Amino acid sequence: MAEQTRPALLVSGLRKSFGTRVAVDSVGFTIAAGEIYGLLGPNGAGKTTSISMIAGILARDAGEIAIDGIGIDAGPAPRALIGIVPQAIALYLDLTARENLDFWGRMYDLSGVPLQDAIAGALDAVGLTPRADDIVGTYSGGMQRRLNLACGILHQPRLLILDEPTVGVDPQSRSAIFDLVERLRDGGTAILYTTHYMEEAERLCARIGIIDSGRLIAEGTRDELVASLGHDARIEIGLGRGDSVERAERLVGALEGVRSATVENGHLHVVADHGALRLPAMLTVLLDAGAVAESVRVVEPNLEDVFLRMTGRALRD
Amino acid sequence: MRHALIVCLKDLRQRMRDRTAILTAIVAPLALTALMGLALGGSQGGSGMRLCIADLDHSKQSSEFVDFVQRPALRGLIRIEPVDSLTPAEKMIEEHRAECAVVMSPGFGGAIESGTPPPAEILAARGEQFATQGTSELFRDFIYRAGIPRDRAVPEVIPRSAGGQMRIVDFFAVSMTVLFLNFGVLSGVRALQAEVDSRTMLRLLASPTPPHAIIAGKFAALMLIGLIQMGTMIAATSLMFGTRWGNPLPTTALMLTSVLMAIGLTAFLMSLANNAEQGTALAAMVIALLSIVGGQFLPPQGLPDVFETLTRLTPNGQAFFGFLDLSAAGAHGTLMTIAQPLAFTAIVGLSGITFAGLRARGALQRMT
Repeated sequence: MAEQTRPALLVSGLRKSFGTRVAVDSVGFTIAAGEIYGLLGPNGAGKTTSISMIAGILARDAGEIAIDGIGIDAGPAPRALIGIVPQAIALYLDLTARENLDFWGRMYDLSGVPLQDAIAGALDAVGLTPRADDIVGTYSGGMQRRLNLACGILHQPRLLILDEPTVGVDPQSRSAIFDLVERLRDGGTAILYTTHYMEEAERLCARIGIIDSGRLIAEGTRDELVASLGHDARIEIGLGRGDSVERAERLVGALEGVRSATVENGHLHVVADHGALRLPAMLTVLLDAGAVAESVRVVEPNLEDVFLRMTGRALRD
Repeated sequence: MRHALIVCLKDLRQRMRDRTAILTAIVAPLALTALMGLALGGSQGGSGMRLCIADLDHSKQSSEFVDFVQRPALRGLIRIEPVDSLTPAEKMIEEHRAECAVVMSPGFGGAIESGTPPPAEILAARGEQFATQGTSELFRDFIYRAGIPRDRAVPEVIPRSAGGQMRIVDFFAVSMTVLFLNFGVLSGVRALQAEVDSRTMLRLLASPTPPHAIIAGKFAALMLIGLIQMGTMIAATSLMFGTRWGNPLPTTALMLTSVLMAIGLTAFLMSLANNAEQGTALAAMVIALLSIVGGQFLPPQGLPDVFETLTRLTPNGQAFFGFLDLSAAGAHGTLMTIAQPLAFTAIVGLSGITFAGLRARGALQRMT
């Protein structure tokens, strides 16, 4: 019974400092088998430091990490259960795809027929079988990304760590990577997926942890996180040329229930409690101020809004 | 052990696939040695073969042999240096003033008269295969004309070590081997740095392979690259130019510490840079500078003593002079002959590797 409830990954109280700078502070979460957990945060938030500790590359100052119930410090056994796909293309560009896979397979103690089967399976999974014996340096960026992923899944890990796996790839390769990640999830692999692309997190991840400045500031399903915004709504009002935007921003921002009002590229962005209900008041204030609302859009809240609300910054800042 | 071997073989495969590295490691030093040897002097220069003749018999037949090799048909091809005893003949070989010497012992004329092979021997400077063969043929031709079958008139060929002044081609064989050892090893160290830059090192460290196996595999690959390069250069220069490298045991020991030195030096320089490209540029510049100071472009003879002192302060200069000392000592060379270069190069190598290792550890931590 305990076997069934044990998480594929348990992280608790994780902490890491570099000198006086605290890079990761009290981070904790679990991932079940067959679950994709998204770690969402801007660059420098502590995502890569966290996964480096989880993968056993970086020593932690404090905290507990267990893969399938085995502590990460328990020698090579827990490491063999992890597959890691770094953000960088961590491949040997002067070797062929098959030679790369052969090498990484052997590093994970595969050999003989099982290794050859694993190589064939991984190549097939990422659609690179026809180019298996070409030098990787001749591949496109998207193909290299797919091979980068193949090297991480070759040994059929229980936990797969994907660090920004779609950075800089073409839409076709991105789609292929998404499909493969979903197939791995369906096959029971636990996946830790770090990204700063909100759309990816919303599409793939069953649960999402939002990390900023080294701390996990929110966690839950996409709907739970969005619901945490309460009745807030985001309204975008297009202003006419020549309108007094500063005055409009000030007047709307002073209305009851309005949490923030900022002008960007000729648009007034307003976050307000029960936003749609407050729209007539906003338009009236604008009219009195001599500004013309050329367009109005009520935007459904998303993870970007959650992040903005919690940190006061955009994800891509 | 198995993991270390896999890492080592992978690294070697990558190096073998790098044609530029092979050109730098083997082809370039050999070509430069040949070019410098031909351009600046050497035994196959344009003045023809220098043949010393020691006539210890003073007979009619021995005088006829001198006339035979001095005949007009051979003028310009052979320059004859007659001497009257064995000692000056040996000295001429040792000092590289003659490639070969024919020594006609007392009884030479009488033996020819009686139709038996005459007592004679050829002293030949080591590595002068062409001159030795030509001298033997001349001798056998002379005896044949005197009515003795060629197959019975085979003189004993005695190889002699040439001490004193070194042939220019030998100087460059040693200097180019040491110089390009650094460049050859640099390509391996550069690949190691590139592995850190490209994060494959982080991926390796995340695998169940113990870090000590990764380090052992990488180090073994670098050592093998250096040893293969030096071994190939030593074999090739011995065969092509007749370069004498000295007693194999101390030569092998100095090869090992020289490779260690090259790894330490290049790893140290690479670790000072931010990435592989910067490191390669810095290392290439410093290696070139050290080679000039280390005496690898100018033979030390004729230069002020301070120059030699300066060269011995550089690690490559230490390796270079160690090999020169071994070459000069010939079969008498021992580990004691090169105790200082052995210790110096080993210390430089280990210090450089330790420093670079600590820097790499910090760099890997910063990446995570």
